[in-house]
Amino acid sequence: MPTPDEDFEEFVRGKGLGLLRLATLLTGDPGAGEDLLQSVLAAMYGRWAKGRPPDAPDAYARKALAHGAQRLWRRRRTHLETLVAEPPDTPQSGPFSDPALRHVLLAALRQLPARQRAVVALRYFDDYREAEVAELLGCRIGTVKSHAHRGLQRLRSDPALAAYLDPVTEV
Amino acid sequence: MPTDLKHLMDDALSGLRLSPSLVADAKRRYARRQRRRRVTAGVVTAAAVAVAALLWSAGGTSHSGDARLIPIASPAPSQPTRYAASGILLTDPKHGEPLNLCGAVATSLPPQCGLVPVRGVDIDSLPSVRTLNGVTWTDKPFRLVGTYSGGVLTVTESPKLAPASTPFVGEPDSIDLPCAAPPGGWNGHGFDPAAAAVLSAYGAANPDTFGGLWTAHQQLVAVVSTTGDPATVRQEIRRTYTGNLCVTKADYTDKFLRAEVATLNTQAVGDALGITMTSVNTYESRIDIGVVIKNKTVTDYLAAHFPAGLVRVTAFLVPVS
Repeated sequence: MPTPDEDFEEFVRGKGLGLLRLATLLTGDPGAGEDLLQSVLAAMYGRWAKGRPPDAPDAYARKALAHGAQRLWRRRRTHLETLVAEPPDTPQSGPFSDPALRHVLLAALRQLPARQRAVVALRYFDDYREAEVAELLGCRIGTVKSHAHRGLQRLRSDPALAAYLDPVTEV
Repeated sequence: MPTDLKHLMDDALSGLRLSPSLVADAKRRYARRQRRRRVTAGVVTAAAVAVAALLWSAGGTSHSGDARLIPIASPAPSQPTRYAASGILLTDPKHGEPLNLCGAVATSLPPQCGLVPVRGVDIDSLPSVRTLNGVTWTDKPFRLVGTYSGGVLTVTESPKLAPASTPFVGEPDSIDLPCAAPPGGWNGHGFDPAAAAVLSAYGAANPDTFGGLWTAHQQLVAVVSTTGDPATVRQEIRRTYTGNLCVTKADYTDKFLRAEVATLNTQAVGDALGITMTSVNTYESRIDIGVVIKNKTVTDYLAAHFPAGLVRVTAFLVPVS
């Protein structure tokens, strides 16, 4: 029988990277994403420490990240400085050789309002269905649809990102 | 290459890695929150007790402990000098870095800095604290007050958020132009950067009198300083340069100032005096240095090695009355 600490650490080992990626998309910045994830994990650890871990910790964490990112956006919308842990021209691994891809994608995501960004990230990165996104964010399915539509439109209209996107795949 | 958004996101984030200290950092953050909640509760209780005491007796006093200070030894009866300084606080225990009050900060993530080791502050109890890869730092600068001994600042008062920093005063446009405008005023076309080459060439050709070159008055006027006769130098420069020109008197040549700064920049002198920065102040024909503390070692060394008034010292730790 694992201790609460071991159980929490096992959860972070298994799901942490996926959560970090989502947090990065939600905040549009790897450093802010890690900070947000750390904050959510700190709150979740409290649940473990008190012997009341969430029933579905992964969904709990994603919901907390989405709401946390929106709170951050409201608080920081006047402060747009972005910390970068690595220069944008650092080469990334993956099928593309374009080293600026992450930088371009996150810069485009930062232009979206937090709710739109959350819908785009959950719907198209985490593959959640519209109903699930609506439940996570506490809004109607119609709202999810309109945010997804507008979010994609704005991403496509970003000149740097448009070159990467297939014009027919997502609509 | 066109692709769908899902693959694009996957690819863009493929290089992300979890910090090895994420779990430890999250636990530490949780502990910090718990501690802050306890402190808040304690302060509320203390305030309630104080109000009750005031209601009971108008002459009564109350005192609530300060949770942000780690208990330290009582101050010596002789009341040592107290110093104040402002900066962000940072600790990197993984690499053996104790809590430091920082001067200049490298804005990496996490940031890197260090100047004065600090004792008596629990960084985890301060607001605006962040932790990444085992490094903990405050997002905002704090003003610390305490005693300084053995290269360590022992804090004796609660850290307070520092006021916004004032801009550096030595920028060219903040310095008065040392020449009156010619009849009809300055030429409004501005300083031609190409002309800088002409004036720099003059400086290189006259190292024994050339004090420096800068632009002033919204970059409209080139200023040349000289230890020689300004009127003569002006005539010489006018042979090759026709733009806005102000020639002023310098106490020292640029060559001399740079040589003196090179002395201060040697490791031995820098370590002995605790120098944090040096710069040639061309506009005022002197040298500016920063030190951790302006003590007798610093003042004695400068008095023995430099003409009076040549070196202006700014200390990081400033005595408070």
